[in-house]
Amino acid sequence: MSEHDHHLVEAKHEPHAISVKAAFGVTFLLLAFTVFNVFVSVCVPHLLEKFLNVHNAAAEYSTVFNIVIMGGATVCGMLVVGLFMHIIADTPVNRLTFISGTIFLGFFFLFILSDTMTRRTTATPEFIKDYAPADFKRSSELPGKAVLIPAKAGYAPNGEALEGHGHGSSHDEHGHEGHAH
Amino acid sequence: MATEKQITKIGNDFFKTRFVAHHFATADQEFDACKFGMWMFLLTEIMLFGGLFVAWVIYRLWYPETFKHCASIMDWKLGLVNTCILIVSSLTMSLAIRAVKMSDKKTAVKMLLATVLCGAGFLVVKYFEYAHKFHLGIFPGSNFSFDGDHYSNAHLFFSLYFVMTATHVFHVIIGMTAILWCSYRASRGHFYKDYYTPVELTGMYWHLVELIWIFLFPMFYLIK
Repeated sequence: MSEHDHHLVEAKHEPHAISVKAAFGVTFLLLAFTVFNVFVSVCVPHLLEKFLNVHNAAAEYSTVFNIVIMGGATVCGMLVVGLFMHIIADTPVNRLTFISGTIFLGFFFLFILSDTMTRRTTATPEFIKDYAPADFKRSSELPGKAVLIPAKAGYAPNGEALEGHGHGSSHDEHGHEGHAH
Repeated sequence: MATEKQITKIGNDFFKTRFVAHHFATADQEFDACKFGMWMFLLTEIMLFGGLFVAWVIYRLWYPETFKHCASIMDWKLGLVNTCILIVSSLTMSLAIRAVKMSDKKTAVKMLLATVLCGAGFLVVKYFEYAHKFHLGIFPGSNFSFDGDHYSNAHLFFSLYFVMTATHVFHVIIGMTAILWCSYRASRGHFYKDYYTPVELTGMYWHLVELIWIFLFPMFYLIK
């Protein structure tokens, strides 16, 4: 049936519009939290090292920084869902749909974290000695055991080719893991 | 040729009168049903990205040094620019929805096109990011051939980066297409205070795209 069928009633719907002030306010908060997150990640470690003489602050307090950054991102997410997506003024069933979905997503994280965080590490020398297969060669293949692979000759740490050296050599000639040992 | 009954005049603008679809009793019921359907769809999107977020959490726990080092070589300035672009695009989208609800055709079209422009800006920045990574040999999976300092299993970080950001870019392109379609229909006077469902639902989709980026940005650029 066509939407122009005159047996149907004309649409009459009462809209709920966000105010211009509220829209700009939310945008300002989102930008502020984003800049705050960058500040925590990039500037705070340097400030701690410079003024409080904290050695390697980025690594020392990485857990705190990461929690603060993800907290800031979560607040941003709540602002977007609550005010831009209008969930606070939505129908109860839509609110329930979103909340139940979020809780369900939480179960994803709960189950996976309860598994992987309670496993014993396999990267210990004892494990390698007792359980590793006979043809085992590289400990870098095991979870949790990271090995720094230095830049190839002719390349800077950031991967850019140094002057006088090109990308002439084939990558296939050099196994990446091979540089670690 | 439209008849008089098919035209609604609000202020100086003319709009195409919307009639409630035959299987709905009222316009409110039609709107609520559409919005509920959109929320259900958005939940499937959240689950899609949720699975990828879980993969990131697992690998972040298994290879902390690798992920910290990889995040430190990402260009956070480009990530910040893209975040700001998407936040501004959410503002323009909200203003477009507001304009449609106020039956302000011109402002609605302008704001919708501004949103598409922001989306295009996001894609341009992403292009430069991808191009630089490919130049350095940073490809996903077994094609990873970066020659600079890196930790073992760095390809896992960058594989997740490419999969998650490319999936996000795909959503940005779909969102831009939907917004362009809305702006075309808005310019033809299809949306006004009594009927704006497609603009509202497209706006929800666009906000979800921004919401996902709000988490992708710290995950790949800031968390060390």
